[in-house]
Amino acid sequence: MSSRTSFYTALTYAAGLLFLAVFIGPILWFLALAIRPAETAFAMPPQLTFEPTFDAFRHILLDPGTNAPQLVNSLIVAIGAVLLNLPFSVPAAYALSRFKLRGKKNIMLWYLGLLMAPPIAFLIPYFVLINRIGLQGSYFSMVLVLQTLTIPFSVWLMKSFIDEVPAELEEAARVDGARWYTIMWRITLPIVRPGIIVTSMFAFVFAWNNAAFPLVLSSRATATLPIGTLGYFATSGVTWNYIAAAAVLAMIPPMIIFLVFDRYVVRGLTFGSVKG
Amino acid sequence: MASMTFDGIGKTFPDGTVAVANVSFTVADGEFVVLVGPSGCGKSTLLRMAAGLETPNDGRLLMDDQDVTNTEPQDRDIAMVFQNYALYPHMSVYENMAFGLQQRKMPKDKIDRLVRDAAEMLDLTKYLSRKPGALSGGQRQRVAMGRAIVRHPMAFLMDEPLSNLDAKLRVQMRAELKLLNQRLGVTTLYVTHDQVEAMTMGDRVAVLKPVGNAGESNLQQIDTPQRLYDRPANIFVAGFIGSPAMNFVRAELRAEGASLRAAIAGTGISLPVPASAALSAYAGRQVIAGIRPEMFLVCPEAEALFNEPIPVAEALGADTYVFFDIASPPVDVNGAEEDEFKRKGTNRLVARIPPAATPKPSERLPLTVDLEKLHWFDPQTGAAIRD
Repeated sequence: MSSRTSFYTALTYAAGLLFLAVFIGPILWFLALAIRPAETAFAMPPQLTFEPTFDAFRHILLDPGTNAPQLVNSLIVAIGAVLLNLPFSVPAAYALSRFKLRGKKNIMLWYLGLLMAPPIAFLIPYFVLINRIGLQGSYFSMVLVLQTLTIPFSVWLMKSFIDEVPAELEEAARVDGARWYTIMWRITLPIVRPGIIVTSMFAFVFAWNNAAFPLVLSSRATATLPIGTLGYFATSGVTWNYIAAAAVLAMIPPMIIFLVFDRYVVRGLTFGSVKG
Repeated sequence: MASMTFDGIGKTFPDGTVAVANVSFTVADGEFVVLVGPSGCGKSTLLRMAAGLETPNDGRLLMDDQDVTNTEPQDRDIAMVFQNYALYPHMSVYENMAFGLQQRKMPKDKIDRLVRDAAEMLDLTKYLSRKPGALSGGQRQRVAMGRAIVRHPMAFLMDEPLSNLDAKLRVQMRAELKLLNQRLGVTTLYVTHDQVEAMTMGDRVAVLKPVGNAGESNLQQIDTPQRLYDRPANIFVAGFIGSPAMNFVRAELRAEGASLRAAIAGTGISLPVPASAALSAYAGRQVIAGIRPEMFLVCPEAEALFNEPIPVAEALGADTYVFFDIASPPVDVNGAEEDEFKRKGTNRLVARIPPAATPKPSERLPLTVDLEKLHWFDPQTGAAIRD
């Protein structure tokens, strides 16, 4: 290798490391914040070495009235959002991919528009609406309102998967005597199973990360983890190590999911973009 | 089993493209009819209309005298083999073959018997539990066939089922398919662009041509392979069927006393024409003569009608194809308007001769023609001139 190419290789690695630092840095800092003694959090100059302690985790998980039930609430809401999402978004995506519908393009654009709108803009109307129908403070209210985010996204993602299934397969099934619902159920959906997994994962993470809707819709008993984290911004001060511990806790389920279904995610993200 | 009748079928796509127009023919019960033609001739569209995957704009489609023009494919009792096989990738070979039977609410034990019988017939028994992804091209092709025959449908529709196979396997499968059809006796409509496949497989062959407007018809001729070869209805069929293709030359028919001679345009060659009432009517007019490569006969120089240098000779072993040029304007089989450029130029002809007669490169080869077997065509309409 000439010195010139090795110089460029070194430069590439340096740029890569810089990028990595920008993205991973804050996460590592938060992780450190969660396990360092509270009094060293804002030490000047920053203290890079410290005696690790799991006091913050112990506090948020084990002390009464803290985050453990909220972790369960978050799981209920996120899993509920996925379960309610799939039966609607998958058939919708199938119809938009396969049927001759008038205004198909407009429907897809409308979904995109829903994704672009800032959720904050709808918080008050949703709050009023949910109160009127008597669902305030329930898990279901959050699951329901989250669908306004997860369904449009899932329809777009699922449609791109279904579009990739060759039309001949469905034609073969039609000639074989199958009706459209049998074709959808027994031919197309099994083929796009990776797509359904990816869509579920994204819907889960969407719901898991959402703080705005639970903020106005949950009660003390149904509050999710992001809401619980907000509780540490108290008038008496901000307990950064508890916030950091809760945030680290909140990162774990999405990370597990992405690690387990890694191969589907890469395929999901590049789907449609790499058509032959 | 059933007969299938296309009655004035036409299909224009929403963008205005006329894919099929005025096609009428009947496939008899148990008959194997091949639709053949160049790309864009509407053969696949016709097949898809027979399947119910496209709806015709004009005409009717009858199966056993029942109008099925607007019947859904699910309700037609036909089976189709697709070019890319369209096997369900997530199902095993067994499930692929059973799927159509399950849709017909057949009892499980009967499905099992039918699938195993079909698998036996196609030598697929040991692959029944495999997924299509783990099969070779030839095996997938057989599964696609199996999925069709297991249903015992009224008719088979096949859309270029052999075109994804390599040359050797294609020849082998061609024979197997033909045998299978004879054994099952199911009415079959088969699409191909390969005229050899058409000639070898079809009881009858329908030659199709792309149409420019809804007033024409795609269907040029439907007949047995031998009759298509011997008595093509027009210059398109004559040029499409046969390999190498028929040679066409422009000529003027001149009456000489009681007999006719055809003077080949641009050359001094004059062919004596056998007496024929139809041809007599063309005396003094332009015609197109069609000469199949095997109609050329090697002869002594004194009897030669053509005596040109041979720039290229292709030795195939049993035969040799020799190519030579004559100073005569080429003929466009598709009947396109000729321009000044085409009126000039040379016409390259091909002759099939015994290998022993192969000349050395660029040597002249004296050839005559079996005059009785010449084909004659009207240059305006392209129709064959025949008694």
